Amino acid sequence: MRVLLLEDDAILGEALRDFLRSEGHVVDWLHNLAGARAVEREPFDLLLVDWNLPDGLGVSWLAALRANGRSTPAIILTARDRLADRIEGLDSGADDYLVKPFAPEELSARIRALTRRLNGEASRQLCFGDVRIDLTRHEAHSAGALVTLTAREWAVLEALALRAGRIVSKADLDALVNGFDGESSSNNTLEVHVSRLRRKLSPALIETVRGLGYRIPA
Amino acid sequence: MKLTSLQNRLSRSLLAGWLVWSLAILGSLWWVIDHEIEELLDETLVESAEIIAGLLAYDAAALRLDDSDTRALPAAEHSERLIWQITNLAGRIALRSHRAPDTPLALPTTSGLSYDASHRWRVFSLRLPGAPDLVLHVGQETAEREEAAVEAARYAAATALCIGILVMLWTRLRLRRELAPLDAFSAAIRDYDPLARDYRLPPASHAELQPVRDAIEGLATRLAQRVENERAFSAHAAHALRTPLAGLDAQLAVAQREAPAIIQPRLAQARQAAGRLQRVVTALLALFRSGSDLHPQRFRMSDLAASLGFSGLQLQVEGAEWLDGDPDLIAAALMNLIDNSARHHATIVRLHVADSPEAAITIADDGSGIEPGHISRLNEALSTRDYAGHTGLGLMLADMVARIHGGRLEILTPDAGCTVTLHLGPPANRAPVPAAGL
Repeated sequence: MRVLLLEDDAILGEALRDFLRSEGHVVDWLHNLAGARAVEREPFDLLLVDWNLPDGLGVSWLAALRANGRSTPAIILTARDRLADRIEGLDSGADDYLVKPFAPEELSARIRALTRRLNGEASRQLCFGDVRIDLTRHEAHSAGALVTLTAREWAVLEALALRAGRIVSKADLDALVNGFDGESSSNNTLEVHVSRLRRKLSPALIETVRGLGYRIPA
Repeated sequence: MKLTSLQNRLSRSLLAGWLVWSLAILGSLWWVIDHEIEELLDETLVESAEIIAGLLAYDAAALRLDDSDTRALPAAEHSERLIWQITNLAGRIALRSHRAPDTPLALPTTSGLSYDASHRWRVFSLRLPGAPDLVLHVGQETAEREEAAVEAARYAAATALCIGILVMLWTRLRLRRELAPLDAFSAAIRDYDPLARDYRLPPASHAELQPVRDAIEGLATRLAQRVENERAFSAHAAHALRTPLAGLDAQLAVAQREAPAIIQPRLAQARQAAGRLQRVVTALLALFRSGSDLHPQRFRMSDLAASLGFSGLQLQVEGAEWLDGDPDLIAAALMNLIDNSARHHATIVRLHVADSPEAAITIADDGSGIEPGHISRLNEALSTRDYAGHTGLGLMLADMVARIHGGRLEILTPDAGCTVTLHLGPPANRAPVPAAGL
């Protein structure tokens, strides 16, 4: 899952980025709203937004984003714990609100719960024919057997599975898998990951839509 | 303590004033009436004597009487109010009215006003013109004169008293009406929230209330400013403390994932310490933010217990499912109390929740407990709120949370472990109906 983390505190931001990466997420960490505005059109699966940022309010940016029709799930991370703040945060368009200090494990659990809720899933398991994907455990099963995947292969699979039925362009898939910090994959590298996923899980799992990108049929 | 009523004090002062005034009026009336009535009656007596003397002088020869003859003039049936006698210089009565006594009212040499020997009659004596050897005595009964004076005084006093009572009642009514704006002003102050920017005290209705209103508004402004400053400080402190704490915990969490097994125990201890620090700071901020400001909600106790974030400790919730109160503050209190349990080697902590007749949460653990002698000292310190040097931070915070809810913290003496009860006061101090998740 590609996450945009907007946090100006260096110690917290770095730790959250590393913790979420260790959970298998692709995390782009930005320190201010200027940076966030520059990447607004990037395909993110989740926004983690600090309320106070050096150049403005994260909630105001989020509200503007919602006003422009962007519905990317968002969690507010803030030191403000008043009831009125929570209400304002949620009303600005946030899907959840987490008061600092919090354990990163709780943030991770809330991310799982949020994506589960938004995808209308009772659990974090997706099934495509014989292939079952457990988003919580980061596991893929083919015909009931556990299949071992590399981190990159898992990232490609998760990005496509969360958008099942939709075409994901190669550029978006690259961004979703690598973020800004990672090295950009060549088309050939992505094709190699897709090819390995087809071989390990099911040949028909991922379709190539010529000239547009890839898709897992819903 | 029952306070003195201004209205009652003023009423009593007025009553006392009116009593003194009435007594003074009565005294004056009595003196005036006594003096004037006496004078009036004396004048009547003198005037009557002079009339009678004039009439008798017209035929003074008819008054020459034998020595043995004491005549009483016949008279129609009536109640004689004035009597008279004519005596010669020897003191013999020559002629008298029919009710006059047959003994002389006064000595023959007497002239002017006097009393008879028995003090029954007030007498005016006058030598008859044209008969210098005869003396006319006209008398009036003393009792009748006194009765007239008393009657006059009584009616005057009754009238003065009635007027006094009516004036008293009118004054009391006016007093009540004049003091009524104080009640209205008190009601306005009761509804006055210095922190509500859009609400101000109504204009003073009387000149005397203006300085009071100005003083209250000044006080409210200073208070609101102070609360604003504290809130601003609280917000800054919250941001300044919460974010680094979150960063510390997150860094430790990452380190736990990346570090080799040999240093995992140290990292776990470091995370526990960071967790304790978080709980204490959160509780302090919650209390500082709250002051005496309660944000009551109805919440599920099991949700609150789950949100406390204790690991390595078994938390059991029993009793009432729902509780009314400020969940943030109660969570802060519980975090500190359970933290105490954890530090005293507890492995199981039971939270028993009661919601009637008063809400209370009893926290019982299986830890090493507190010495019985120390428990009484702690309870004494908690009851007198003498925290400094007697209780730890956790107990003090928990007691403050309980008191904000209208209750207090109590340490019990169980057979084993430690048991404390967080009394949350009667229902009136607690929450309204809306349910809220945590």
